Amino acid sequence: MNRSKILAKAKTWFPFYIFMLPGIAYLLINNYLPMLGLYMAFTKVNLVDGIFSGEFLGLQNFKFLTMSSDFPLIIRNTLVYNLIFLILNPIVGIALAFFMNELGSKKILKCFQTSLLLPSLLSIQIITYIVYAFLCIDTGIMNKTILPTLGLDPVKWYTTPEVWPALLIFVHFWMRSGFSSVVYFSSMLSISPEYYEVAELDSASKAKQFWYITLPLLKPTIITLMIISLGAIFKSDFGLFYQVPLGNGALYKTTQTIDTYVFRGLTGSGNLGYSAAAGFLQSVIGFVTVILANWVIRRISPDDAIF
Amino acid sequence: MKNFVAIVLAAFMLVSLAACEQTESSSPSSTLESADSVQSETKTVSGVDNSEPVELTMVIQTDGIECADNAMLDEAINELLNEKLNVTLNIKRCTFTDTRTNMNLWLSSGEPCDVFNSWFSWNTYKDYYADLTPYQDLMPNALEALGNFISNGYNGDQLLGLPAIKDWVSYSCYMMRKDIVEETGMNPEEIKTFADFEVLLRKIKENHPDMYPLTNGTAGRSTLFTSTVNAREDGTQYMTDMCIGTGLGIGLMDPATSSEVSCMFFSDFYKDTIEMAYRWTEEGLMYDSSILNGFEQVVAGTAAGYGTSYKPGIESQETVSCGTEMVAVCMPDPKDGVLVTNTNFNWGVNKNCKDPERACQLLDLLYYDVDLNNLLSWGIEGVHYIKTDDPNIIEYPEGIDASTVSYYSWGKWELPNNYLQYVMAPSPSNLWEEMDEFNMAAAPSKALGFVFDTTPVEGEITAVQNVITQYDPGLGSGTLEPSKLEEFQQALLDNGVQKIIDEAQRQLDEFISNKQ
Repeated sequence: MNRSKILAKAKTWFPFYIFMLPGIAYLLINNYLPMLGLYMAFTKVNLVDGIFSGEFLGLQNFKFLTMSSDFPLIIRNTLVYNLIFLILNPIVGIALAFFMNELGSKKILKCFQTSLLLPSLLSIQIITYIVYAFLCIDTGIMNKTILPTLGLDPVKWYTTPEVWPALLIFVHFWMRSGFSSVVYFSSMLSISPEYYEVAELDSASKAKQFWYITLPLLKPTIITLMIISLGAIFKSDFGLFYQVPLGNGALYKTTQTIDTYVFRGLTGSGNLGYSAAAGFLQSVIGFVTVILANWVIRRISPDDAIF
Repeated sequence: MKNFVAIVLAAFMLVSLAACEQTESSSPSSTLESADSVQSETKTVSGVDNSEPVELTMVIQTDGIECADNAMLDEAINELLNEKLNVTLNIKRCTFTDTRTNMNLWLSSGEPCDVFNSWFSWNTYKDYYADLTPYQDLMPNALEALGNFISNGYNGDQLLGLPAIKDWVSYSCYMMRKDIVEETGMNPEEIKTFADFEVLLRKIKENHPDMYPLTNGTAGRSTLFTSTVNAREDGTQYMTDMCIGTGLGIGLMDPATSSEVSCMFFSDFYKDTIEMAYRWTEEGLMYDSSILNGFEQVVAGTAAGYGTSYKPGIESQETVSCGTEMVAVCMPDPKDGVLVTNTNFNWGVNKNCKDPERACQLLDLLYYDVDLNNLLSWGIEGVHYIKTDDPNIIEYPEGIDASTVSYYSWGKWELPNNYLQYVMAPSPSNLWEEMDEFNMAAAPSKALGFVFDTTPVEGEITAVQNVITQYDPGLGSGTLEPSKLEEFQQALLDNGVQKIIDEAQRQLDEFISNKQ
């Protein structure tokens, strides 16, 4: 291209780059620069002389996770919970979005959206206490009111590990589904109503319309969100797994994940090398998973792959 | 209309941004009354050049409440320090619940933090202490006040910190409501074993069926201190020395006589105690709350007592928090004291301090200057406290009490020399003498001065820590069945607890043979 054309292009796009600048600067400083700190995962961290001054240890820091006899347990918990969230997330989100779509009145829609979104604004501590109000052994709503009404005995909630998978999944979706439903809802709005009109003319039932029109058109959104959440496959929401069960050791079998293990084990010794190694491991596994998932999607339906 | 709403919202945003700026509160200038202090025996250091003004930072813990007169006090303290040492002191107040995180941040980011305190078992700070051996000549008063106890400040050959002179012997005790104990007719001083204690708790439960006789001290922790006490054949208790770090339950089971390291969780005493705890909880004699502290439950009337750590004066202190008179049931018996390793509460100077000589002089001053200590602890005489006929006792001025005074220091117990502080009525005038007796009467642990180097066994410590948090709180509070004890012990063994014990024994034996 000749010079004048390049200049003309630059002039058009220049303001947009200026707009991007703060965002890019933030991204670089907040997300890329700290990556240098990953070096800490391979050293014996010595903060007095600086982050890079520690003695190089190779992969030794990564071994500490394996030293626990609970290592298979924490991996299992982390992965299984994340898989369940991964599968249920679109289901719950789309179901809610579908119902929202069917509501006639705009006012009622706004009411529902607001009330669905409210829990995601609450801090996890508040949610912990709301759960406590329900599950407290002698004064909780469950043990005092609901269970006796149903004729059942009170349950020692905070010392029975078996109920917690269901509880935690429920709490998670109570917190987060509002947000994901909004995303799916906005995707649904962008589907042209002509499709539905044609389907009605062909006397297709609501269920058939949903299955053959809405879902396929939502596929790109679902796949994108899935691949993104696959990046966090090895991480867990610390607040959900540590705070909500009130940090209770009796519930380890079903609530201990990698993040809570690292927290509990390292608040005493404060070994930054170990925690950096754990975080690094989580990120690397998430990265590999995302790449793999994207490759698989590209083989199945190339248009939906992210990159 | 829309434009108007937008403008109003933008205006709100700007106003809230402006409110974020901290405004300096203008404080009235104060005159420091010179108290006649006992300074006849203080040593002065000759040949020190203090002509250069230096700025130092000192870290003190608080309970999070910002006192109205903090600025006033800072000015008064600085007046004194400017005169004596040509130092401007910047007091960094840190909420004690956040101390760990804040100190980590400040120390690692290089923020000025020249004079600070911690326990050596907090391994992260150890690297930040400067070696004070070359500056010992600058601190004659501190060394004299500490005497032999200075050995607790050593780590190997280096003098890394100066121990604070305070209640050195730590115990557990159970604070009970005095009126309720009197109802049962039992004498708290005769309760020496858990068996006696159980009798008391049952009587309380009979009298007050809707109240829990015993609850936890701190929210989320178990009441019975299962990992720090041991008992003899007759049931009387004594403190163990958890020299490897209290969280792990590994240390000397009989610190005054034996230097054998073992793990509390394998002992018979632990087994008996958790079975008792389970029985007590099932019968409603004990209740551990995950979210409420002990004193809060006493104030609310749902509990009659809780476990806490003991020191002279604790009864009056807890009476104030609970709003009703409290009496301490001391198990172990305070007269049966052991001076344990975890009394390593040391003040030190930051390695990165620009003027360590001046910082050492400041530390020394803290060990002998009555005025400075009382400014830090109680405030300005005449404003925050007034003196009484007894030279040691002070009280609040007319119309002010503990809740309305405009300056108080929650962290005064951590100051280097507690003995210099005035005693607030109604505590007894000879409080510090009692405390000194208390301290000196204690038999020293074999591991006194020992600091465990965790590097060889860090992975095992992490794993064992997790196992302990899984079982001990539940077993100790009686919410987990005692049958889980075998699982617990097996899990400990699977996670390398024996390796930690062996390593600790090896290091301790080396330490003891070097000491001689």
